[in-house]
Amino acid sequence: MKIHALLRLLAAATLSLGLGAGTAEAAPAAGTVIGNQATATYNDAGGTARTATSNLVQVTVTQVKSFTLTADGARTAVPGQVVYYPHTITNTGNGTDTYALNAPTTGGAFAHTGLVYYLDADGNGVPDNFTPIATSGPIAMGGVFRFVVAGTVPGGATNGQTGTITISVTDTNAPASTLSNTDTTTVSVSAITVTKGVSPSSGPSPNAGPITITLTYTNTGSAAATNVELRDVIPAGMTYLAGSGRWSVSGATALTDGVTPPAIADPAGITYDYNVSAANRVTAVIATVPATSTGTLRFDVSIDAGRAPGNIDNQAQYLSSTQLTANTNVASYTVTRSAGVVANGSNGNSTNGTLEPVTVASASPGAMVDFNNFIWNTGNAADSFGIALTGTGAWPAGTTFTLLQTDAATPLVASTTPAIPAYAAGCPAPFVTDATNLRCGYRVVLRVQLPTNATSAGALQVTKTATSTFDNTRSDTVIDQLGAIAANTVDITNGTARTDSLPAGTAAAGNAATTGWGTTGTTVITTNAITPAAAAPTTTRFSLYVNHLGAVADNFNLSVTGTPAGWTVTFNADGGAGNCSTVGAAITATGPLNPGTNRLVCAQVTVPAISSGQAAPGTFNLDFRAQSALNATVFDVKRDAVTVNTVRLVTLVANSAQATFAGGSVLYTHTLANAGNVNEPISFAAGFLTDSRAGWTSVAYRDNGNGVFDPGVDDVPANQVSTATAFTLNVGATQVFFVRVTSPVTALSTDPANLTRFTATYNATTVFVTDSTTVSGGLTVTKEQVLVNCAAPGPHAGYSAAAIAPSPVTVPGSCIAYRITVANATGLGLTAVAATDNIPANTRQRNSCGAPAVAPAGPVVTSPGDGNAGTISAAVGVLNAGQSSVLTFCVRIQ
Amino acid sequence: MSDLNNIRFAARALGVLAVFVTAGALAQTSPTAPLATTIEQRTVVVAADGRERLEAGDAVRPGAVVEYTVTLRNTTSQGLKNVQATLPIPASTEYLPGSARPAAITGSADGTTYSVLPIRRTVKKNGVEVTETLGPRDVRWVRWAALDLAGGASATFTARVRVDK
Repeated sequence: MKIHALLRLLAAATLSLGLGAGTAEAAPAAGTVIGNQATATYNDAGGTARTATSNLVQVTVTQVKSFTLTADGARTAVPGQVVYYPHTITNTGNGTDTYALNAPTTGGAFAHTGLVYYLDADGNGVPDNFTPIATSGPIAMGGVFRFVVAGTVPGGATNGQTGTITISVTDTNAPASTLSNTDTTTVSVSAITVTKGVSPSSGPSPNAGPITITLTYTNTGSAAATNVELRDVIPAGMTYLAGSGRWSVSGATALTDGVTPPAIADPAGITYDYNVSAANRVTAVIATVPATSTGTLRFDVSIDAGRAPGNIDNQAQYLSSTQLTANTNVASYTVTRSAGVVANGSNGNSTNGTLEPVTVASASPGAMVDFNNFIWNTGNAADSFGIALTGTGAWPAGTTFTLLQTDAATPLVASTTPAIPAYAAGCPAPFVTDATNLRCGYRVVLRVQLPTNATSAGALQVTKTATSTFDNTRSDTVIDQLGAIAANTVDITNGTARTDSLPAGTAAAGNAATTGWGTTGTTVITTNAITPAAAAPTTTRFSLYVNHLGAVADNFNLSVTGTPAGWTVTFNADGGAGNCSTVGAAITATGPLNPGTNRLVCAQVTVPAISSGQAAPGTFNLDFRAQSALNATVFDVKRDAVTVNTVRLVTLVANSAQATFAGGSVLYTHTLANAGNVNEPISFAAGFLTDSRAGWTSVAYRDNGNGVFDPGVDDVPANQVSTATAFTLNVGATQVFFVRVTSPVTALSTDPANLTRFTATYNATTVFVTDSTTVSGGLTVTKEQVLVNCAAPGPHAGYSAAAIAPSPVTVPGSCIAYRITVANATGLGLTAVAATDNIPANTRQRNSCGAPAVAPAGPVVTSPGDGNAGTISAAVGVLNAGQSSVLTFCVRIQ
Repeated sequence: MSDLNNIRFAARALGVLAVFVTAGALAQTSPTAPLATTIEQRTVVVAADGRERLEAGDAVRPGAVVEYTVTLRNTTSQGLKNVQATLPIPASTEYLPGSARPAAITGSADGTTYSVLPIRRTVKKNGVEVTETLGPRDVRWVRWAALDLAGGASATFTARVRVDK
């Protein structure tokens, strides 16, 4: 900034002075510390409004010296009289200074002699003592020093002559300043002098008094003075007490005050009134004051209320028929300063105890609590008050206390209020006004920042003590109380959000039983029923609203306890429908929630398949928990439940079919399985094993446990199933049974299948399996013959099962070829198959027409030999299903 | 004289005491606060040749002009929004109108209501509402217009006060 710009600013500032309602400007005392702290408000990256406070800078005011000297005086005196002229030094600088009283000088028509200074601390115009002084001693800022200069009118002075005394005072400034006054003495043969006194000369405001004003008049002349008139205007701040006027000549007799009509007459020789001859003035006219005589006039006043500390100054005037008006000395009543303070919670009533303690009912952890305290200045002058806090140690660790100015934003510099003015027709901004008790106050804000993990057992208090900086024995306390730190700042509700949360739902105190509003502890709020599936997991969902009721943004971790073994619980974002009908990504916390908002979280409970054995029926409580990431003590738990329905399911598999041959048996393997979610007692009722056809028999055996039929181990009587058989089939367990079905030897392949039904009973329910057994042909043997030429070795054609009719060719000597076909008509392989035939009677083996042979070749053929009779057989061995073996041989009829 | 006494007493208002009190310890603005706020003061001295210079120091005479410099620095890498500096006008001083840089400021007499200078307010006098204009003495706070502060950026605000004389 250029200098002319600054000068413009200064000029503007000067011109603006006196406008508006601001407080009067005056230099601050030397040593005054001017401190300043800037504040800044801003929104951080998260959009939260924050305040930052700067460092404190301070500057100290240095001393500037100045003073005033009053006043020029004038007296009348007779020759030889000692005159005293009162003077007053006022320190108008901003620090203490000492003033030198320079030697007085005299001049005019005559020279005063014996010029000397005396102390006149009481300001009554005459020396307090007769010790000459030459210095004021140290005078504080704004202080006054009263003294008189004494001089003697020389005996040779003549009536009407004037002489002067010039006094000067020098301060300690560099360069020094000197001020002077000139006092003028006029010589008169009748010389009235009047001095004025006030008693007592100091006290508080108000003061009922009486404060006695005494005007002492003396005629130091050589002739009587006539019509001596005393005039004393009662100054602002004093009030005349009616009927208090007394004259020394008339003693205790009250003077009249000049009221009309007069109740009494003034004593002879004086007329006296108040507020009659002139407004608000005591006026007394004394007819005659004899030479060398003295007398007094006195009256009483009281001191008004609301007077600022300092002097109430007053001078009386006097005159006589031969003297012009002259002033008495200045008499002062010093209003002493009193300090006082009330700290309370009212912005308009300074009565102690009003709205105390200052109470905030409740706050959440992490909240910022402001206590508004009002500091009332009950003294009679502007005063500032230091604020001290006690009892902060009982608050949770980490609690921050900050004293703020009335704007609730700026720190209270040095923990001290600004100077709070005394009431003077009101209180300027930013002060508050008690118009009843006429006091000004100031709001001090105590800002308490609770840590996010704050808890409290009960009410918390901090005591604020305001102490006057003028008089540190004057202090008052006010208690700021926080009723409680809210324990719960989060609430989980079911299906709908709280009414006092955003977005608002319908959960409220009245429906806590169904919504889980508030702290519901171990009460089950919502129960979901599910029916588990045999082989696949089943899911069910709970719509949980996490309502953030705290005062600061927070994130809540989600967890669940009580999850049964094998179950899983996941938390998911809502899929978009707002009711968890679909779910989004899995989450473990709500994410940041602003105060007063909520989030829908879908708790998805997965019940495993029945086959896992972990889907037992019953009701299982799940405690869903939302816990503050800022403060682990802040959480809510809501209990929901899942009811797993009972599933009863036992299966018996599988129906099957086999074939056997007459008199043969087959073995069926069946599995009984418990596919339900409860253990099942298994029993077998009468008729549990039936065959549909007569002659067929069946028997069931319980497997020994390995699931494989072990001959001789499983099919023993001990394992045979009967109506006495009973056992419990656990969830997911299986039991193998073997059913052996035996066909009668009379069975034919053309018979219908025998149906064997095996029935098991559980929970009054039956399951059965049906086995279908048929009889196949088994090993079929077909024998055929043909007449052949005995010399033809074959192979021969034309075999037939038909009989050979007697004919010429059947005569003895003829040959017959036989063909025996052994075929496996069963569905099973046969072993140890042998084809055997006898050479018919009356015939002999004849190899020329075909030696015994088997086709396919391989098996060994045994025979009696050519020309013999006996048995021919072929050890075929294994004959698989559908295979056949053909044995051929030839015989000659005997 | 009574006014002088008043001033002498009022001047005792300023002492140095802790501003912040915590349970157990004094708190300071955290050095890691997103917005570092500092204030400096200098005395404006006008030399005989009319040139003006700023002097550091901790003593002033009544009537001296003190310039306060408030520096706001964004200590984070993210932008801060709506950054607004407020400077109290200390007791025993008076804001010099027009001295603020940047010049766009508002002022307040009560710390609550801010308006452009000079502050005008409506009061009832003898039952009639009149608008009065407050003088510089009634400006007890000045506040600069809000701005956004990019990560790592800083902003400086200055204003001058004159010590009462």
